[in-house]
Amino acid sequence: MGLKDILSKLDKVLDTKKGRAVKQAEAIEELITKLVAKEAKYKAKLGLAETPREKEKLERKIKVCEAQIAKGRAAEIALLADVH
Amino acid sequence: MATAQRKTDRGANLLATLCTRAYTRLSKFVLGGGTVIKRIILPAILIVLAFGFWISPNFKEIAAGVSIFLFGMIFLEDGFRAFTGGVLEKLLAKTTDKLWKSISFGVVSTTVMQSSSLVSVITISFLSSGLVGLAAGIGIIFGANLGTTTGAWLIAGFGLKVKISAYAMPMLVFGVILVFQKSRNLKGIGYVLAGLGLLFLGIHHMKEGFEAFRETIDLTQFAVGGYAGLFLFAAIGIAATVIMQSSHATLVIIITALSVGQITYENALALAIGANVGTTITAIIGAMSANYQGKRLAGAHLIFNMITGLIAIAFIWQIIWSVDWISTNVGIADDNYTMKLAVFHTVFNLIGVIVMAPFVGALVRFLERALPTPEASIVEAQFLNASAADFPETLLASVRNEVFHLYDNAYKIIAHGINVHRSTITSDLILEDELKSSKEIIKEDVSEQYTRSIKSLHSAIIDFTGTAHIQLSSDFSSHLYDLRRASQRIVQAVKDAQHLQKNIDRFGASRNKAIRNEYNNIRINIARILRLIEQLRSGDPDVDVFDLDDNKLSAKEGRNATLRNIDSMIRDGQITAEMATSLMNDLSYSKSIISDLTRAGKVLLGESNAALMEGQSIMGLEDEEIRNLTQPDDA
Repeated sequence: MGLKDILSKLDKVLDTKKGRAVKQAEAIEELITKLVAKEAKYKAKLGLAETPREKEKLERKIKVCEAQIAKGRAAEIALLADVH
Repeated sequence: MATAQRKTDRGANLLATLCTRAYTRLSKFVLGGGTVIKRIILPAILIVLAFGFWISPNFKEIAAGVSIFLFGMIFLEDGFRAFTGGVLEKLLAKTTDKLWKSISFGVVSTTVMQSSSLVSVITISFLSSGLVGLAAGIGIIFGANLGTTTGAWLIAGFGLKVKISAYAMPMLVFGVILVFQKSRNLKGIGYVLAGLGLLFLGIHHMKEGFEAFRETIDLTQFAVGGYAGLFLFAAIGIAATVIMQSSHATLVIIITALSVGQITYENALALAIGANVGTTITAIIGAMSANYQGKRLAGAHLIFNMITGLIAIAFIWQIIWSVDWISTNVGIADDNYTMKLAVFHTVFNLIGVIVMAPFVGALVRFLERALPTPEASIVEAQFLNASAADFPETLLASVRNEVFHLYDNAYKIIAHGINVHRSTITSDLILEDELKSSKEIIKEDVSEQYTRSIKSLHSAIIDFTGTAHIQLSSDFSSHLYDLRRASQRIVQAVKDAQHLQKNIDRFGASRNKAIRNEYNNIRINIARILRLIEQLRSGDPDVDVFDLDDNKLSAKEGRNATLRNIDSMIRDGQITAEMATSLMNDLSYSKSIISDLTRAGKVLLGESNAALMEGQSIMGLEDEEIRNLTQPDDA
């Protein structure tokens, strides 16, 4: 890690606004990771669904997960863009 | 000047508050609840009192004594309440956690204060302010009955009596000065001192007022032998003590009468038994201004003293024999009846304690049944107290807990409003099957419950958060705002459930299958959000806050399906146009309930970490986004 990187990291930590944005982006990433795992679980279940009703229910859940993940990604990008 | 004015205002406010509370408690006690009766009886009482004051200065003194005494009780309760959660509570908890300890506490405190009546009323205020439990309170009362016998020893042995009324004035002065201090503890001590001062002063005035009756008591006219005489003199002892407000004063009369041969030794013993029962009157007066717990304790006091008295009368000859035996062994002369009276007083109270101690549990159960806990007319806030508003973290925690308290009440009302038991919601049963197969109508007056357990709590939350003067950072401030909004949404959900209830009852059990099905679907959708919130509250690992969005989407799709079918249902004659109108209105109410509970749930059940909470808020779906996820023809 070069001096420039260290100074940059220090700058981020010292600058509360930037530090908070980084922290927020990390929190969103954590939530996205959980939602991705949840979505994968639903997708696996979808393959095994026996009734149309069950299938419909799982598809709806996947759709919701995708929308939430998409919102998270967009917010993450916006936050990190502010930092840089 | 400004400070002096502020202090005067505070004093005036304090006095006004206490007067209002004293009047409310007295009117509750004297007049009960009826407004019409209140309108007639209150002026009647005031007129009778005014007339009494005009014709009898003694009556005026007695009435003033009772009023000052009750005022003192209110001060005393407020004072002890200031120590709840503090040193006094811990001390009392340690010294009264076992029956023998609470009895010892009663013995020691009564020996020091030389007044079992005073110890009883202080114990009533301990109990009313929640510092001790009923069983511990009963133990203290038992001990006070033993402790009071030391008075008989002092009177008999030394002709000495501690005059508590002499302390009234200094206590009042010190108490009032301390009441105006900022420190919570000093204020509490001030209230206790002022309360005790007023109690002493009240008892003093009552005694002074009754002094006129003392001369009229001529005991020779009642001289009757055998058990009839014992009961008669016990009754005279009760009456004399009630009138004079002091068993010690009665004992002095007994000893005097005995020494001049006005009464026999047996009659004197019966009088002492009566005095022991009569002394409970002070506790009974004290319990007038106390809550139901205080009344229970006064009941326990009366029961204990009555039973002890009956035992003493029933076994009087055996007790006399044992008193003679003890007296001989400790060197009391055969004709020293005053000392023997003191021994008798101790022996029969000791017998009472030994006999009654094993039945304390049964006595508690009996009193709880006989004087049940009154159902509060409105549910009061549990977590909002002034000390919680001192720090941002405690302020937020208390408001959050209170909003949960509000939600608990709302949960019950909404569940019952849609005729679902909470046990069904928290069970693993399939809601569709359960709700469609059940036609039970749960009688829940949502409107009444709203007034009783929702409106009052929400108002308390708004009032508490609005008047908190602490400086909050923007994060805390925003979270507090969210909690207030959550509270508002819960209130709104209950209001909507109130609108929904009538048709749920009407159509949920209808013979018309189509309308019944639609209303059952409404019930199922509402039950689902209630279940999901309960799962989140219990920390179910299979769900998270993001599932609230899925639940909302599912409910929306169901609602849209119904709205699509309404026309065809009318066309096919499955439902009438009137039913369709009701259904559309009620679908709107159910949508609002689900939406409000979803939003409140996100605030209350989200992550505790601020960044994660904010992340959940960012990633959660808005109504517009949920609409975009529904089927293209639905949107």
